[in-house]
Amino acid sequence: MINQIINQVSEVPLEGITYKKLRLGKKPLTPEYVPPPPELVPAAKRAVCIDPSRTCMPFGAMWATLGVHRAIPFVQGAQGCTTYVRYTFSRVFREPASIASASFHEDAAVFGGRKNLVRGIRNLVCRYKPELIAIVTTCSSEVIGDDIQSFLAEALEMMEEEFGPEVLDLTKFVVVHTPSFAGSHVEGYNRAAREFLKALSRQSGQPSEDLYFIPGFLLPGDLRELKHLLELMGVPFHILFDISDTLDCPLVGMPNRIPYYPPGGTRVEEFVRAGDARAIFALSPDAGAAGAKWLSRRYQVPAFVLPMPLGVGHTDRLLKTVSEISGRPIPEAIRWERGILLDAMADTLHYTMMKRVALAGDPDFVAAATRFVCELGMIPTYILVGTKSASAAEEIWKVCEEYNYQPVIMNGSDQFEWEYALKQDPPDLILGHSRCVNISKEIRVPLVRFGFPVYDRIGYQREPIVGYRGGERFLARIVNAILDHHYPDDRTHQ
Amino acid sequence: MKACGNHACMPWRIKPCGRASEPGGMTQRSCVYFGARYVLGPVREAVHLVHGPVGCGYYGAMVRGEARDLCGTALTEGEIVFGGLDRLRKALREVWSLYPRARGAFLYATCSTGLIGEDLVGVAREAEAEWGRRVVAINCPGFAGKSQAEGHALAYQALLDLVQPLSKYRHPTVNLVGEYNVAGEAREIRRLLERLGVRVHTVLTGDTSWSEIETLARAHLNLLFCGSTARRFVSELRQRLGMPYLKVSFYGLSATGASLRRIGEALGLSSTRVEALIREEEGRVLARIRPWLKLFDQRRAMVVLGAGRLGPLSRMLRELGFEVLGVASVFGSPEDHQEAVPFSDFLTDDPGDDEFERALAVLRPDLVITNAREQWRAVKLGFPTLSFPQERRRGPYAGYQGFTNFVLSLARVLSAPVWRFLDR
Repeated sequence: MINQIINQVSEVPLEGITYKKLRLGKKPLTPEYVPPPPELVPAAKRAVCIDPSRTCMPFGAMWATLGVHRAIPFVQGAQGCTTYVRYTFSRVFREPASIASASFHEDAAVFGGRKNLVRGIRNLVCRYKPELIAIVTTCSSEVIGDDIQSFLAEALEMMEEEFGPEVLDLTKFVVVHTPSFAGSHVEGYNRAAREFLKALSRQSGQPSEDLYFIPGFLLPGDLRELKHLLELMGVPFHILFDISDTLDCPLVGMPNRIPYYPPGGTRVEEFVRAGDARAIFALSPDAGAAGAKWLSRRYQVPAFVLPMPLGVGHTDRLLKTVSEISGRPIPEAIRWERGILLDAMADTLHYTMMKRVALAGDPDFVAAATRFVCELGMIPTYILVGTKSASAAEEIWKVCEEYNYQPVIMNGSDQFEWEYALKQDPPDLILGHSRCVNISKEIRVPLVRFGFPVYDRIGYQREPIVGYRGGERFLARIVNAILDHHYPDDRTHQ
Repeated sequence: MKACGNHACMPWRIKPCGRASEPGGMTQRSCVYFGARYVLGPVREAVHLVHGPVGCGYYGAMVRGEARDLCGTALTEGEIVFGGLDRLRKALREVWSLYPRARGAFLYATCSTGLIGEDLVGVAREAEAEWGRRVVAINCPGFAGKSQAEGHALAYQALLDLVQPLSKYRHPTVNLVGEYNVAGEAREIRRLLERLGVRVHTVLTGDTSWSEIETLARAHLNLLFCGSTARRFVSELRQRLGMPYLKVSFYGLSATGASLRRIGEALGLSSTRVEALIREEEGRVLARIRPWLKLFDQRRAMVVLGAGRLGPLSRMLRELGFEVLGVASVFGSPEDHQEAVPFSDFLTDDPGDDEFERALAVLRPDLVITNAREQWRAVKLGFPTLSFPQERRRGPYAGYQGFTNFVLSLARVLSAPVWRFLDR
């Protein structure tokens, strides 16, 4: 009976993205397609930006805040600024993300956001009892010119009057200024890293041996891999903005206390003690380096801005630096993992060598991935760096000089330009995020998803790409995509 | 457990609809720009140009399922200070050569351009004069209303201006208005109407194009699906062009049957034909869903959805044997609430995250129906959850085949073994 029903289900019409409908220019093979005039292809020469590969600043600040234990971002702007971001988190992580809005309406646009902030903070503290509130500004509040600090002072004063002075100890506050027009989500994270350390970190005068890490947009699986490496090294460490146990949590049923907060996240005390750290590492030069640099200027904590530990060279570099700073040798277990990655690379070199690959994504991911594909003997062709970044471009040039390749780097461009180049000169493989699906389908080139955002595949946020083990997983993903697509299924290897 | 009517143990504060959200209350509501993009997003043969910073353009591309190029002006600091109209004019010039087949352009305002007072209407008029193609400016800065509902209204207002008075088709033809073609629902509705010999001219805005909107007056009747977004639009069309409209719903067997009968009456179709269709389709559906029905008997459901689907969905659940414990809209209108009143004890608007969680804790429903964005909260707390709008893979929920899909989705959610592993 059940089988019969299931057979009938397949008759029910399902509808996918039909290219027939995309009349405006997605599909070059349909008669409707009109190639764009060549002078309008480079993004720099256009006023119009089509399919950007970056989003707005507040997103980065909210990402950072959600990595803190019992922290809520309070977005000083219209409701859409939170809804879209909640939507993104929900799609990428399949987890609830508590983000509060100041609900700007017309009166706020006219009279400013003072009332919204004062009432919003009171509501949040009373109803959600967070340990930290990060006030994240938006285009609207920045254009209006809201004086957030004085609004916050007023809100605290009113709450003290209403509830007594104890209320002030409940919650810490951080203000992050993130007008969308001044940068992308990468810069938003960068600013949040600096503002959190500025607002919270102190120096007690008793230096500790702890190493601090600012990961950037690394996903929960990556963070767990990073922790695994550091635990093997035997160094005491803290990861700031640790989303691994806030945006990837077990399903346990109704908690004893509502509102629900995820169990993990960086504690506020960890930020407070950052001033005593032995060293601070920023693992994404564009997302988080500002925090590390500020800490080093303010408290003379040695700061290391390293590339994302993706691939052999970058992971070597991170471990060597950690080993030098902490004085601990790299243990055999890690050498073993490195050996396994090298073994996987040697096993698969026939599939990877001399394959042409196009890359797209956030600067830190793309710069690190470029080095990894070079290590695999692949040839980078067109590289889209979603957010304009001098350091990523420099890093990519350095790698390509080392391996003697001449890719086209589209720094801060949009996907329109990159996709046009790919249509003219299709690569063998695309390394990019979920928004590269269209071009991948269109030119029939396999897409290996990585970085931010991946929302159309399951479990990518849990599967690491950093470290040696992550590199091995990432390599397997790449090789399997090539095998699935470029080689017929045969049994010659048996 | 049936929740008592005592006010003190109400799981959420009863809020009347139409009120602005409280700051810091974790609202699920969105902005006016979102609403405008939601309605206009799928319109083909049009360039969609967002005048604002890069984020609004980035997110605006993903409000609806289909991928389509979304253009933006990606304003930077300099343009916010000195004005971005020059960039906008240049962008408008460029889109015509990038998309030569576009019939016109929709121009969206955002918070920042609304605040610095950019005159989009003026630019649109200039561009029209210069290029001879329609440019419709939509004044939808995010803060310009309480929720996305205002954006829906603005978008339909913009569409209204495109409609031209034209002579009617000879064949009985209808427009589906306020039907957003979630997972191909329009296709199922189209199939049913075509079996009655009724043609569908266009589907606003689930499956439509610029030229179809311009000529929509050629149809005889507008079928209104989502009242909260499109009621103004169809009543304006009735006033201006004398086009009648009919409120219909294709969610659930009784509603679909009743709607088909009323459509048949309005278009003067033979009632035997309509009845035969209903009998045949209903019979097929009932045979398919019968084995699952005992799963739903006396189960208790909670519904938290946008606006227009509240009533129809509660009715559908009731038909299947569910008890509806609580209903909440995110941005509902009084009419939406009126539709849901007969089905539920609790009714509210705009619940915050904490109120939603408290309602779950107090009511302990067997099934939660909520929107795609917020479904993971209910899942995380261990409640079988069905999300709306559904992913494409789950297929349409409207009409007869859709009802089968809906029942199967419910059956999957409720009988999934995963919930058995949770210790409650």
